[in-house]
Amino acid sequence: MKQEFDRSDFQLVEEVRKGHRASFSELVKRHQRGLLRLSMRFMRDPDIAQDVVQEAFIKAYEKLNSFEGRSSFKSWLYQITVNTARNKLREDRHDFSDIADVHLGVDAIAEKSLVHKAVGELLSAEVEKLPFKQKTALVLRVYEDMSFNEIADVMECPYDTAKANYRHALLKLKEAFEMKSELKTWTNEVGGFFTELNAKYAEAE
Amino acid sequence: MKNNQGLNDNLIKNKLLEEDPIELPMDDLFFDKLHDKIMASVEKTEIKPLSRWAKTWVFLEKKALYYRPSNNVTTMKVVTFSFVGVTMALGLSLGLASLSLLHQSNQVLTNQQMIVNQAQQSPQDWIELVGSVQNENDFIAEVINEKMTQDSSAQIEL
Repeated sequence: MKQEFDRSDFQLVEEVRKGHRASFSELVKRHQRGLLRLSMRFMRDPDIAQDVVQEAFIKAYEKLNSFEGRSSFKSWLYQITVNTARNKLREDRHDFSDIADVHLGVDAIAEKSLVHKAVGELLSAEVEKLPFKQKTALVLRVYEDMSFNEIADVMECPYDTAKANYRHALLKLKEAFEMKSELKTWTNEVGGFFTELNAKYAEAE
Repeated sequence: MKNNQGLNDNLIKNKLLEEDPIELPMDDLFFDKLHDKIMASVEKTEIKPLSRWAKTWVFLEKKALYYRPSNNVTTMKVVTFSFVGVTMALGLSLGLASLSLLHQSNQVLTNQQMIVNQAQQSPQDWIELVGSVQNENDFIAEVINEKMTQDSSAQIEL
């Protein structure tokens, strides 16, 4: 067992290429948690998220010969998972747009009721509204704690683009909260996150 | 201002982490099942051989890797070599084009020389020829005709 952990992902990949399918089992064990967590950020439904993970591993196995080892195996797997999730969302575009409509409807009709929702839910809703690339950069940076080089590998884009996507995502979140002035007042009462944010901002200026 | 931005970013980042809505199943049994499900699918799958197109794609990806900002030194080398390469290719093609033009002008000169030589060899025939033609086109046609009569393999260029 110890020997399995001693072997790097690259070594395991080489063994799989040589026909040792069991080594892929070790790779699955190593990365399935991370991939499921990532997949759930996009899919929300745990069953669909599992399907995405399964599909991603199958694609990775099929395309193992095209893995050159320039990025880490983890980055490569994440890249496949993000692409699979995006394709899945495109396939379910109808359902996806329905969800967006519901959000818009809530914004227009009952914005005041939103104020009373938990900050977590609001954050989640705002993250959901982000364009796919920005959301991907945000998820990888914040929740997966990846460097911008790794994010660029996963998103198959230049370093600067990865960074710009992340910055735009944060900016949109910030703007979204600034627009909800009622929320600011409310958060003063329940925790003062935005007060803290505003105070730091004023202090720094 | 940059510190301020970083501060705000960190606050948002921390809040996102605190309010993370994703609850990952923690039990090993769940992941054992997921693993078995994945491996069952993998058993039915074969590793695809790398196609020629894929090889080209990988090569291009490798080249694109050099253009990352984190790889400035290599980027400069690639840019320099590319610039030198393009300049050399441009110079070479310009040189070839000039040579081709020079060759063409030499050919025309040779044909002109041929007419002069012919006139010098038999002035009487030349006078008759010039006298018999009405215009420049007739004259050229006559010269071509004569040239072809003398040497059927000759290339005529005026």
